[in-house]
Amino acid sequence: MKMLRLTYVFILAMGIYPLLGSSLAYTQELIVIHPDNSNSAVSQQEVKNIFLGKKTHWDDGSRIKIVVQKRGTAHDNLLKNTIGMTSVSFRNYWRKRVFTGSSRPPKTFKSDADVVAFVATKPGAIGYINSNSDHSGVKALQVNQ
Amino acid sequence: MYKNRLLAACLLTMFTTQAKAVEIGPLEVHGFLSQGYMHSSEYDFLADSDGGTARFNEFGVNFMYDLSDNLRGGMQVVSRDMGFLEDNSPMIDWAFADYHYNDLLGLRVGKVKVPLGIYNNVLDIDAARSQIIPPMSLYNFYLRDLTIAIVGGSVYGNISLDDFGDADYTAYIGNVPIETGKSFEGMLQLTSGSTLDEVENSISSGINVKWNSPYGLMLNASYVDINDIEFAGTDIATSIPYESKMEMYAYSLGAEYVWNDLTFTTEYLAVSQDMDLTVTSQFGSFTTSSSNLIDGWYAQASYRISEQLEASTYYSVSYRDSDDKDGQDALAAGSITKAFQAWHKDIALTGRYDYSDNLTIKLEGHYIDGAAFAFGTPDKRYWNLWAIKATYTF
Repeated sequence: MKMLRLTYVFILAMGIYPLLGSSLAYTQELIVIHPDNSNSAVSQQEVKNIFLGKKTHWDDGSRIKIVVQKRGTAHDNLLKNTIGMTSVSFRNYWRKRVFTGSSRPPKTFKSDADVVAFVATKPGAIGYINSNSDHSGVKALQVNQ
Repeated sequence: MYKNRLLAACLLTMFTTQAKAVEIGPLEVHGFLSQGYMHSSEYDFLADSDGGTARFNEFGVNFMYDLSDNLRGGMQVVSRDMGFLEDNSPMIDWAFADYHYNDLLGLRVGKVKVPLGIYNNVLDIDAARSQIIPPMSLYNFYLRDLTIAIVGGSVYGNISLDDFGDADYTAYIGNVPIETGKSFEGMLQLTSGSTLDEVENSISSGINVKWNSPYGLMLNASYVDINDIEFAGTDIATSIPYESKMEMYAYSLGAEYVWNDLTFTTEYLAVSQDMDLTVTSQFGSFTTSSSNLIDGWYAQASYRISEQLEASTYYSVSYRDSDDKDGQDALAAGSITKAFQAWHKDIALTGRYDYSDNLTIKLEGHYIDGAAFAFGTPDKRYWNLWAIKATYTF
């Protein structure tokens, strides 16, 4: 009986953990854009296409400038939850694009503060940071599932 | 001595620094340096591998320049060394102007890379793929000149399919820039024992469609048609000159599935060739016609063990003539001396170590059945090959 209960607890934990992990991970990165950008919400698929260089212009026709982080929690979460790649496969993906001339690579920064500082001054820029980081000077973009 | 010190300083810098692209205003410069060594137990394969060779490298540098939000230009120069087929002479890999009207439609004009299969356009970029030597069934080095780039134009775009992901397309038409002394000549030496002295460039047109599902599955289909490849050369054994006209079409179908750190890929390629060969001698002019279908497939799995380590394996099968897979017809006709020259079956195992964001080192072993793409006296059906390669990108 005790064994049976333990099994139930284990199954329950295995079932809840990914949901919990996914929910937490989803709220851990915040997509930020230039404050003058008229967009306030985009779909998850659009975010993916933006960071893969497939969606290159905002709806008003201005050029999207992508900013990525070298590594870190926000970087890992965005890749895992939205883009569906590992850090290495994401790097290789951009290598392919750069060395086939498909597009220029995204700007890369090491910290949330660097991302915020860049996005705040470049119209059309989009980046991501940890949700608990200071994002004054930029606008948070809502991502719809 | 000075050169050795300079080389040592360069290597030390490469291993200890995190290089970034060079930016000069709106101009951005990227590059790669790749040096390998390969050794085979029998035969020369791709390079002078029998006994080992370090003539196995590629270097490249590119720049891109944004002229406006929608218009940009760029160029990549590559130098490669691969045995007797490539000798480190710099060549323009791609150079084009790119007008991106919107995400649905863009236009490139110049020398552009073309897709045939999932990985064709990254064949020269060692760091962007798992293996050192990609599966020959799809990425046959000897067909490289015909299928890797055109001088002309291409249209491309990405179509959003909402809940069903998105699709990429590329359609192109242009001249095939074939040169003497490179892979196309290698194919002629391998299949007909002749040199390539002169070549008239031909027209290539094709299309590639890729569906990126939201579930980790990607499907790819390619088609290319190359008309009127006209060339002249000399039969090596008899020194008799010949002229030839060839037409070719190829198609490939492929699938890639990514599940967490595992990636599975499989692809199929068929290449149909029709060739008229005219030999002129003191007895007159004789023309013979031939056609054959080369086909092959591979299945590949790669697993990312950690941020730095990846292991991958593939099994690849290809035939010089899919209507004569056991080689008996070619044997009877005398075009080969051993039946195993009709196929190339390869089991490969690769370890990839990403030392840093810029430096990648790979070690690879192959166990090969057949000698369809190997040079040398065909006396061993089973043989092996190993290779090591380091690539630095910035």
